[in-house]
Amino acid sequence: MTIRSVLNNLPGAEALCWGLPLALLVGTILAGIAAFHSDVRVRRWAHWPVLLAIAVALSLSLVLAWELTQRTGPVLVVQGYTFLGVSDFQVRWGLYIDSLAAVMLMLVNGIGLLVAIYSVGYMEEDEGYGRYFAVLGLFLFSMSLLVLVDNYFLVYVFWEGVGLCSYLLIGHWYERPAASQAARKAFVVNRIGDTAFFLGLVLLWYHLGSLRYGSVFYLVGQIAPEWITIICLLLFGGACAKSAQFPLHIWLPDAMEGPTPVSALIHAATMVTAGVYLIARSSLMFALSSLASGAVLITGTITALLGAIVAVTQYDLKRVLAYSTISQLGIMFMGLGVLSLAPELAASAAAAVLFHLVSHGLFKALLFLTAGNIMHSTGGLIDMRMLGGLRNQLPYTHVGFVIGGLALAAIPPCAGFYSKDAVLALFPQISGPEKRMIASVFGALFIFIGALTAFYISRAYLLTFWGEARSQAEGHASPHESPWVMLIPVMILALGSVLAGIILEPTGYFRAYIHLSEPFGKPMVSESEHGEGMWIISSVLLAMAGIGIAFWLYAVPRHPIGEVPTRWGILYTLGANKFFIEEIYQLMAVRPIEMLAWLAGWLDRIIDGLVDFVGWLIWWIGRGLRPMQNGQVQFYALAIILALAIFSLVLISRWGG
Amino acid sequence: MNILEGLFDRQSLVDWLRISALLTCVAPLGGSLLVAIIGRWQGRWVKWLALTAALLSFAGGCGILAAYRPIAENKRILSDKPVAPMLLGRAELLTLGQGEEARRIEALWGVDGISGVLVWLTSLLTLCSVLISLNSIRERTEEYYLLLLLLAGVAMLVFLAFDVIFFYIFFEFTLVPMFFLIGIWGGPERRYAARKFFIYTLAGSVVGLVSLIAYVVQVRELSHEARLIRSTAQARAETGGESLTSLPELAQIASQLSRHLEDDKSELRAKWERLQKWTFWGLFLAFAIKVPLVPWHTWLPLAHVEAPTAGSVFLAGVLLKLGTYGFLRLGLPLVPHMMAGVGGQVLAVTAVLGIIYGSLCAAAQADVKRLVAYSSIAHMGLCMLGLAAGNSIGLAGSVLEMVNHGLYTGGLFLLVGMIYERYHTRAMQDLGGLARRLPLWSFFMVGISLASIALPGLNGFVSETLCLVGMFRQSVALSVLGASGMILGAWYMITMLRQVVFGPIREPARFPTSQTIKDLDPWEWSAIALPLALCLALGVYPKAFLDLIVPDLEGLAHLYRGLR
Repeated sequence: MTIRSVLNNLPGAEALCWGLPLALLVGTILAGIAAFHSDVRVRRWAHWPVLLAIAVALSLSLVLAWELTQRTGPVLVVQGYTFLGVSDFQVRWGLYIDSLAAVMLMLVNGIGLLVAIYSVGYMEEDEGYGRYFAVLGLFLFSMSLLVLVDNYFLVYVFWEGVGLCSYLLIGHWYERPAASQAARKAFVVNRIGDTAFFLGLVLLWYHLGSLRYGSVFYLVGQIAPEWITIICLLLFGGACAKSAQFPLHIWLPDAMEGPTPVSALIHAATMVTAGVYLIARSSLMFALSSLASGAVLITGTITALLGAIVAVTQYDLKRVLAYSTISQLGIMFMGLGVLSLAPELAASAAAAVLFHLVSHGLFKALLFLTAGNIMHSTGGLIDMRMLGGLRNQLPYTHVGFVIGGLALAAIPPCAGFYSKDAVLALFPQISGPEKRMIASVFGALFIFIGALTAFYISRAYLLTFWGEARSQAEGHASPHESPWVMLIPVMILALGSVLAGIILEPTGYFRAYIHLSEPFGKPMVSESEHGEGMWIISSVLLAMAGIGIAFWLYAVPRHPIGEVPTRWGILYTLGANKFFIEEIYQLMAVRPIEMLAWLAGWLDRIIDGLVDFVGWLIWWIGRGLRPMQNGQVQFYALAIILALAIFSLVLISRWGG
Repeated sequence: MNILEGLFDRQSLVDWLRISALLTCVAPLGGSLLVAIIGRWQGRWVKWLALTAALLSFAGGCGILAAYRPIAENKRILSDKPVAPMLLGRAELLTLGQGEEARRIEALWGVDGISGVLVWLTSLLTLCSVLISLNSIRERTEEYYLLLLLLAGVAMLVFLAFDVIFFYIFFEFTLVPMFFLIGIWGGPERRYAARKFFIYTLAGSVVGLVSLIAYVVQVRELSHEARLIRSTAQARAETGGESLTSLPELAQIASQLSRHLEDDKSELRAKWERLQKWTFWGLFLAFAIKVPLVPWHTWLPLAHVEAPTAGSVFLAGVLLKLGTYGFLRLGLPLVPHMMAGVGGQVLAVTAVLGIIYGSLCAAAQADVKRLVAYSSIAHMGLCMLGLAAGNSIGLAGSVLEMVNHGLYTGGLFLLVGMIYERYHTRAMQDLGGLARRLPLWSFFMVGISLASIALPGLNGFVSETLCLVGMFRQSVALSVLGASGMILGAWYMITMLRQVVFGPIREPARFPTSQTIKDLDPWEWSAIALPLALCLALGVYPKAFLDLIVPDLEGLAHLYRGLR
């Protein structure tokens, strides 16, 4: 299980590694300067440094990814200066590039570039144009380093860094109360998870004396199992907040107040997958604790189910997509949670989940960008009850949405089909009679969630693109197709959503690439057939059924919109109100803490009153000595000097002889 | 820094250090004197004089750091000398006896990494305070700058004094200029606030003084009784007799006593522990009120709210540090058994209480300045948490937190002052969406707030991490409780930002939007840009300061490793 660090092959590799974040940093700083420039024409140029920087970063990540295949020990470790070091708490800058990091880098910068290009069109008339691109660059810088660094401490540093960018971008239109509220919520909820993450890594350091991946993976077996469980649960707490898992998912739907390209990049394709990345990165640790990985499995299942049910009931297109993201992230965690039943599947699970992460990144970004096109062309409309009939008006967007939707619904031959079924195929591989039973239950739930997914995305599609054009009926202007700068990224993503699966999965390229690096390098079970075929066929059939039901309900508007679901009774009420989780939080957490704060405020007055009372008491007792309590500062100064004189006298009397 | 090392040998480095230290504290003191002399008939020059003095002082502060760096790198860590500054000067006040039997009372001046960074911080905040006052102080300017510069000089002298007498004198003397700064240029309740501040902190430190006297007197006798002949003879040979009030010597005696009596069960040991116990509680009262620790903190929000902006900056940035510095300089070396035992536990628990209670109170405030004042209490709790840990990680975090807190809380008070200057209100319900009206101010506000809630990349994160990690070694539970401050801090600061900086624009009713409220002028701009830039620099490269601080903490950390 040794991690080999290779530095000898290519002298430039080290420079390449540092060049990647450096390029993004320079781009960000230039954009930041432009953003604060008083000349509006300069502000309009703020996207150029960022675009160039991302292009450089993307090409460097491609080179690095290729470089990994050329090495014997395919982990590249680069060391830098000490960031923070006191006695045995030492944190050094260092990069750790393995296939996991390389895949994440390509995804982040690839989608980042497309979204940045898209934003040039989308944000065109925005006042905060420069600010937007500066923060976007900062985000890509932080996210790239998050997946690049070689120890948990620096992961935490950039973990909070991407959180900051998310906060700033959600609140981009800060004058809207909803946006500033959503930004605050995202920050505070993420802070809760971050604190858990922080405590987890301090605990890890406490036991191992190091936070570097190499030493942690090497030494983790020495920690007592119950401590491993606690550490893993704390790390998972951090992942829950960042990846919007139940019960910390509440910030993500509100985050849709940010500009739509931001939703595509940060709140669908990249940042929210940081939690998945963290668990996959730590899969060796999670494999040692069936309790912690069991928590991952159950949380993932609850979240996936809950997200899918709520997505069925929403009318805001972006919120449907947000809940869909929550649900899909839940699916990824389900895949990682398989470790609790079969630790030997660690490598396969990481590969499968990462594959779904990539394909989800592609098709969800595609869906969000098409939603952005819709908002752009209708003047900001996003309520599906106000949309409809956009099929003919926005032909390219329509095709993009269809492809993204099919990929999300996991219909072959789209990428989503291959990646989701790679995750599903994990469940039948679990051996042992009881474990097989449990695995079958989760597998069945997985397929059911798939059917719900197919249903809600078809519903969203039909409400938006079919039927009559309701927006014009309401007096809005006729929608027009977006400019090419926005359509080309959509097309590229659409192409990727179709082709990524066919190219990468049946050929086994992706799995082979992930297995290049330790600790993902040893699939301990043979990847033979375990009856996955049955599962996969039923999954596709059920997804088709979901689509069919959606068409039956919504394709021909037989009922007025909004009447269909009322027949579903209590389940609909629960879903439409997001299972009342917000209200429960208000009641159980927010109100009590506010009460506590209020009480503390009052308690403070009482303490202050006591102090005054004691002062008054002394004054009252010392009334006889009133001439001395004259409140004159000179008097007090005199008292100090007098005291010092006594001090000297005491000393003299002691040793004076 | 290697260039410096190559250019100057050790002696000239010490000379540079001496010149810088002299410049740092003489500039404000001399400036204050000059203001007193020429202020009467050259009133309009006063502020420029003050600015010059502050700039010179800051240059001196930077000089101290630059000259001390090579010294810190080559520092030999002497495990039995917990306080080992680079002594720059001494002045005998009184000599009793002759030759080797001589006992001197003397003033000792020196610099080590800890006092170096704190003097630097003081000089920086002096500069910021003067910059922010240039336009906002319009009445009795000469008296104002006289007091401000006097306060700055005296506060620096506290950090440079390495004998208990002058430490105490200057420690107390800072109260006087601050009293007048609050009492004359303060808000509507300034008299009450100033009096409370003065009497409360004075009452505590008088008790501290009494216990210090008792300690100085008795610890000598104990060391004679314990027959620590070797060390005292050595010390005498070095300095020609005993220095009664020298802090390094007292610390050495205490550490030798502790080691010598470690396994001793005699009466002597009991006596030593009794002495420590009384001294600790005396010092505790003095410094706990100053820090302030909950529940001795109630003078602070009041004093902050009533003080003028520069007064608040100085109060939070420097005067509170006198309390933590006192615990570090006097508490840790002089009463080691108490600080490693019951006393340390009391400090740690009160610190955690301060973090949680201060944060909750901050969340309940409607006035931005009060909010910052309570957040200050929470942050000082964090600082004390690291200090109570007593290991080098916690101590380094604690010292770094003193500096960082000075930077970001000082910055927050500057920013709040700028708002008050414009709108004459600090109530959150009267303000909102200022990002639209004052973009530059908002940029600084967001940046400094993020430093305050310990966002990685900014300075607060580094010290918070070190304090919590240090405490983790001693008590996991207290560290975890302390970490709740991370969440609470984010909650109240981000809520304040949402209210004041973001959201729809809202201004006090008596300020119609037609009236032009201007964004920061260059003076204000430079006053706040400096702290934010340093927050960023120290967040990205904390090693710059850690290299200065840590060598001087190793002795203490070593002492405490032995005691636990």
